[in-house]
Amino acid sequence: MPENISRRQLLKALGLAGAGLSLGGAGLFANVNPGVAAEMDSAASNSVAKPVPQRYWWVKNVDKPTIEVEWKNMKRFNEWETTRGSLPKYRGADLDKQMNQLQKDNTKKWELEKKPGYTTKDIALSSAVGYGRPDFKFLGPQTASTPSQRGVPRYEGTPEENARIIRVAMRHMGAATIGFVELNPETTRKLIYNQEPAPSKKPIVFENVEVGYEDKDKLVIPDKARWAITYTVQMSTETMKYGPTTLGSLTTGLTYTRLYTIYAQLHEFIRGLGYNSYGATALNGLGIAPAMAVMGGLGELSRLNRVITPEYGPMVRTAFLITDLPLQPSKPINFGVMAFCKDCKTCADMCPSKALSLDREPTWQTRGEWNNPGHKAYFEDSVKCRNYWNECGTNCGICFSVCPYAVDDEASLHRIIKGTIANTTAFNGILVAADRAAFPALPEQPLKNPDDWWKNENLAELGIDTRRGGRSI
Amino acid sequence: MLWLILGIGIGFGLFTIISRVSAGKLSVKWYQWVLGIISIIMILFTLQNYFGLSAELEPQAANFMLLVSGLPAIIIAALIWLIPYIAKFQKKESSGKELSL
Repeated sequence: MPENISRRQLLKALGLAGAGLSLGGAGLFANVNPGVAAEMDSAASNSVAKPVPQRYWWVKNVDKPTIEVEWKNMKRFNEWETTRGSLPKYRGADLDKQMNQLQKDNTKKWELEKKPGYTTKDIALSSAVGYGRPDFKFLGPQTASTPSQRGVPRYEGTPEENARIIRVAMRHMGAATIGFVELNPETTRKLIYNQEPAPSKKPIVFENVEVGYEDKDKLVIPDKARWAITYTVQMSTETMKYGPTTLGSLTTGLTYTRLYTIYAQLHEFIRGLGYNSYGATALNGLGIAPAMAVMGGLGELSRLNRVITPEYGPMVRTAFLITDLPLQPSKPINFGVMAFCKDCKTCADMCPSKALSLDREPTWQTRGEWNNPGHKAYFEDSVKCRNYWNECGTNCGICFSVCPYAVDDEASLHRIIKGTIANTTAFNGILVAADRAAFPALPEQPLKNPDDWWKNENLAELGIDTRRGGRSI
Repeated sequence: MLWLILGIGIGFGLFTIISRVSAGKLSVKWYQWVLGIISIIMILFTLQNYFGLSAELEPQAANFMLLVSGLPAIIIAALIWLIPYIAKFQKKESSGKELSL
């Protein structure tokens, strides 16, 4: 330090030290979600709280989703028409029997061989995390007390306030992102299945009644139940990397358990407010959940035909239910996914059964009766996909784990890349190449050694970072 | 904590350079400032992403980051000294006179 420092030099030194401390402070706060910054600003200015979590600057609200939809040509689909419901029909009864037997034989053989990802402890945990799912009921559990039972008026709020309290409540229940869709008979109501899943296949109908009901012939949703609450629950990006094995699939099982626990709780919350809700009678049984998530602004459809979210990539599961609680709808979003998918193709290249489309452009042409026509998409050959599930013994998930959007949020580079992709396609080629170099994948192999998963006692609870969508606790 | 220490270190380093320049004990050309700022930004970027990717349990990607971002940052930092050294060497060859830096 020079002697006889002048005032000018002292002020310069203080300025530089302050800049250095600011840099350090910026580094400390590098991972703060912008929603927190907004919350802090709003606390300072006493302004009205905004819904959390805040969107990133590169996520744009749009009036129409980034896939083309011909609503007038779309018909209400049925869950039992998917490969989940009609696989024997699509691949033949004999092949179906053979493939199911192959799955049993393979998993037993691999368990005896102690093959990583299929060991006894992997299989035990996979079974365990599926436990605890509530029973599916059309009208919900109906155990919470209603305001009328408590002798008080029902909750009243504006659609914006209602949307906010639903979001806050669901975040507390464990949902990641929440959106709202207004059901229009000519458009979004067509995303509700025509019938409930097998074996009952009861029609799901809309009638001009005050309260919906279920009888032996049908499930009735009132016309006044005009809003769908669509939401996502995070999957573990880390655990999925150990697929296609029983170990890798356990995050799917665990997430479905959480998804439908929240489902039942949401039913009860709406009931406790004094309103009605109508939901699935079986897993994924009410309507096309990824489509509803796209319409509700939770993400974009993609080459892997599932919703990709800005926050968590494809590492989510999604569901929706219907209510007569008035809600402010949320718009679809565009952050460059469909445009990026044209150049990327990583999921399709790495798909072991080549079930995913390798075409550059999405198409109106479906690939089988398991696809729902009426929108332009990268339709998949779901039978090939399910055949591979039988071969590998479980739901595969390779397309999820190799997706460039399937990343956590610690490295700042992820958001810079997502922001770049959202605004220009000029760098898509180089970004895909860099992703494949940084996260190399071998065909049909887990990205990581399944034995290593069991060595990590420091993996976060549920395998996820629940503070990614918001940090106020 | 790492970022606080880095911030203080960078602030102190800048103060030292500027005070030595003001005292006439150090001469820094404009391009050296530019290269220095770019290399500091790149090094900080590399460090944040290296530790971030390591926290995401992706050691291979973290090392890839060192290669594609860290190595260029070090090369750019080395140019701060390399460019004047090469210029000095070439001038010495052509005129036979030694120049002070």
